[in-house]
Amino acid sequence: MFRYIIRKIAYGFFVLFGVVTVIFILFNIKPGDPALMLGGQHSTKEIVETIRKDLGLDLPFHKRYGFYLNDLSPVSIHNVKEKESIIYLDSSKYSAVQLFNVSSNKSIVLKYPYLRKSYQNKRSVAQIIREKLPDTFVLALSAILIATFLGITFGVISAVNKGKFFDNISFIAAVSGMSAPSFFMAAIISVVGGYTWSNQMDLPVLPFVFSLLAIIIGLLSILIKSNKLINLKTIVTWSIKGFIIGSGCWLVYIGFYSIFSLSDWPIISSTFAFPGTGLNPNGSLVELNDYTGDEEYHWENLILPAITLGIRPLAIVIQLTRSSLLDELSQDYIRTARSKGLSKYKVIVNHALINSLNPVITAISGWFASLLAGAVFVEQIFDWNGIGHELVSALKNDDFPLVIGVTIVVACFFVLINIIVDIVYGYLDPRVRLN
Amino acid sequence: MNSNLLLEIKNLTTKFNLNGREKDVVKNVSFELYKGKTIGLVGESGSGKSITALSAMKLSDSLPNANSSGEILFHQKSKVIDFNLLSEKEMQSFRGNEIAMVFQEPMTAMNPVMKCGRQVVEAILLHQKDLTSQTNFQLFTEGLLLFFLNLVSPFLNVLALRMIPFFRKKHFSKREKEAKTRTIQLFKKVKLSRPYDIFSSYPHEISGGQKQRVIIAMALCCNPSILIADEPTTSLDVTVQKVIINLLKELQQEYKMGIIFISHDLTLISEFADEIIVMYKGEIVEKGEVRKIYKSPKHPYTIGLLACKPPVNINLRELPTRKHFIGTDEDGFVGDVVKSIKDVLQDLEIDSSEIAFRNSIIYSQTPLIEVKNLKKYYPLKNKANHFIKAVDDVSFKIYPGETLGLVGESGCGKTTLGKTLLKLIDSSSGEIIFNDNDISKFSAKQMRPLRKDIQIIFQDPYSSLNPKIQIGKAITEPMKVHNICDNDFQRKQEVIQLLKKVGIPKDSFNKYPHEFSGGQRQRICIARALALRPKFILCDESVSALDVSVQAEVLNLLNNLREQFGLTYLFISHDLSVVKYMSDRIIVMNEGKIVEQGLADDIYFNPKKEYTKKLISSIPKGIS
Repeated sequence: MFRYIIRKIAYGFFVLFGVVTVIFILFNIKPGDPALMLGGQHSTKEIVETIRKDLGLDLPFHKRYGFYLNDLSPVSIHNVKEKESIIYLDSSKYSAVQLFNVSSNKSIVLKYPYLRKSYQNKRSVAQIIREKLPDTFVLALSAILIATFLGITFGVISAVNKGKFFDNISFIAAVSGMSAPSFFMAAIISVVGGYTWSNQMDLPVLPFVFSLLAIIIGLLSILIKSNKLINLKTIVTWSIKGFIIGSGCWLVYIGFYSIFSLSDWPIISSTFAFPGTGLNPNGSLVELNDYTGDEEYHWENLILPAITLGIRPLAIVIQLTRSSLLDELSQDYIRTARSKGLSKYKVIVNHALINSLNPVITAISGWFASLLAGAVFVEQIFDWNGIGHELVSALKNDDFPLVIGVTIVVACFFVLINIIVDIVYGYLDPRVRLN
Repeated sequence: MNSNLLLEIKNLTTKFNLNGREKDVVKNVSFELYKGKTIGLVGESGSGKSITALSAMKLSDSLPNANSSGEILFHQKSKVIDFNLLSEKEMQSFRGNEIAMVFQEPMTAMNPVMKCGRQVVEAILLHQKDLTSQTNFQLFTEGLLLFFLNLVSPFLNVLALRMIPFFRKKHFSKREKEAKTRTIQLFKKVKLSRPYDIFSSYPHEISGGQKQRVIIAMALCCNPSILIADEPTTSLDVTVQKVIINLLKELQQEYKMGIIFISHDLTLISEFADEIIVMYKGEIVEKGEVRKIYKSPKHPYTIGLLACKPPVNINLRELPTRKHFIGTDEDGFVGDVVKSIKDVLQDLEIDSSEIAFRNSIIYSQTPLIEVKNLKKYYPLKNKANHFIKAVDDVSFKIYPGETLGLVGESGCGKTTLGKTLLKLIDSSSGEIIFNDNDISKFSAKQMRPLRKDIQIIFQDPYSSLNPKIQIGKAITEPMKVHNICDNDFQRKQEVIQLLKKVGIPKDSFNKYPHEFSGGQRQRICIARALALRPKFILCDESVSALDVSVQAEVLNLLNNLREQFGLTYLFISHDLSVVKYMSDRIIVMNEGKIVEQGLADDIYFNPKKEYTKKLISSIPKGIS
């Protein structure tokens, strides 16, 4: 186990090396010059040249790459005497321990990886990431938790009611969830949840009356048909069915409302106020108080972006859980479990579910890692002060150190999550348990 | 009314709903099961015997779109309960408790991620409410306390740096402990060695025979009055089969259970059952006392079933199949009996002088393949200098035109030997001489031209054909690779000829594998192997997955083709009776080593080694 993790981490270093190389090449073949960006429109040639020299952009490609790797590597060569040298061991940049000298003025040092400074504001990239990463992490984690718990629950329910009402509904919901682009959903959820429905929502009475009627008629018809006691499950199913019928009525009502000027009929157009969510359309986790200037935590700001970000993984987890659970339910050992006299609930929870979780975990881990990097739209729209936000502005301004720094951190997370997932696999399935 | 009556099935009919069309898989089946008696349900795959058993437990709804009607009357003391009228929830208290089932495939019938012991304990906890004399309140508080203890103890264990043994283990309630001791007792009763180890091991860590015993223990844990055994020994070795059958007999004596024993092997069932029911296409075709049916079967289907099994004590030119006794009409329904088994067997028998003559021709030639000191070792991971000796110092010769049988239990290395021989895996050391070359040292590139001389027919016809490729293409593909025939037209002609020879309708060139039955698929695999005009074919358990009657047809086909094409076979099987029928010589393997080799009759009638004797005595002989 321990050896396995060490080996995985070693592979991880190769992955990071590859990532750094690819991004370095991409940034050098793409058009645009950071020095021109920084100098502004009216800068003279001399100024631009100075900036280039300052940033080290005047060096040939292989030297820039070499020096960057040298900065990044935990074990590196540095000049300890000459201040003019590019690789001078500046104590304001590196927190390093000298190991031994290789020549009169160069020595091998052990240090934290140095991610350089942002071109835009000259702040340390490590510092920026340290500030922004926790917010993104919290956002991605809550999104993936929503997706996991709701997804597995709904997946199990729709697998159990295969081909029935709930299954069809959750299938439609999942497909629409998968196909809705995140910026679109983000905009809608932000407006509806944070603005329209923030204080209160005026809901028409009519659909609710229809829902109630549908529920009552449904339950009555069951009572008459089967003579059996109504349990919680039928009530829940019928409430959902009734609600959907009622909402259908509402949609028709909205259409008719303006065409036939139904607003004159008080019975149809009467509304009742539904309490609001009390949420803001945007805002981040830590906000400064306008009056005192203190940092305040606003956890409620997490709700809407987390839901938005969780929708797509949720849809996928529902479908994956459903199909893999159905697969497992047709296996022989399920028949054995049933022949022991276990109830349906126990068969599913104790036997089928654990066996069906493998593909789900693969999907969740992949999504979690990519949410860390890819929450860009959602962070923009909700004004979430996270790493995606920072990445977009860095890309716009050709801020190479920041982009590569963020990429490296995200790549580290990918490697880490992969290791964790392998351990979880072993925990769930003894056949792949690591030696 | 008879007080010994346990289960009475009246007019059981199970229908499958396939795309709107209803198909009866079980039609009007009725029988009674008495206390301490065994009913044998015999039939080929698809005859509806498993569905009958599943319907009796009301488990047929685990198959898609099935519904059953009729009465399943369970006699419990003075009450009579119709299972078909019970709801799913009421049925749960009978399943496992009063009526239990042992399944065919021990490999897949156990939950792979749950420990063996836990799977038995689960059933005991479910049905036996009075394991301990605790009140409900005591049970509840104990459960609650243990729940929290088990929840926090892993964290405390880490905090305490794994120093405190109390936190290191999981805690069980009194009921669970009691259930565990009962499970261990059961494991001892089903003669599992090391019951404590098996209790805490996962299904993939134990062998097939052990798994089947765990499943039997699982079925017996609540002392059921009825046990349904659905082909419990089909996927096991003959020696294990014998042990399991004896075990079932003993347990039946002890618990006075009624057993419904399902099998396709009439000979095996006749040793064990009191009454036999023969099923064919969902209907009961013959039913009666075991001796009567085994000795003088009335229905043509039963006769066919009895005769298709390769006989071990006489040598036959051809295995009797149904066509020898019965005229079948176009729909495959059986007609009248024309000849008796005895007459047919007499017609087909070869006398010993003919065999001696054949042997003298074959063994005067130079061998086609010579294997010298072949070894295949797999290194064990954690231990240096420890190996799994899959094939250990094996030497033998294969002569042109002969069939060499290779027999042994699963895990004895016979498949590894076959694969090494074909260079599908590399050998550790030793020589394989083929065409005067030692091919064991050949590279993959050097092997390529030789591949067409050596072909293989696999065990499972269902998975050895690509479901997405038409069979014509599947057969033509290797021909293209080895440049047989000049163009595609000629190849197609050749393939159609071949398909005709192996008995596949000629319009099937463009069909997909799922349109064929298991036996037909195996014929297609044979055609694919023959397409390259090989000299040598390795049959690796090629008929083990087939029904006896289909098996007989395929075996006859293989023998015909051997004469026609001058082939040489290495015939690998765990079934000694099949190997005995097919082979000129037999090699018996155990634990990677050759135990005995010699002419088929010599091995069968005068076995020298203890292991061979054990193997032969385990073959079910039927009643005399």
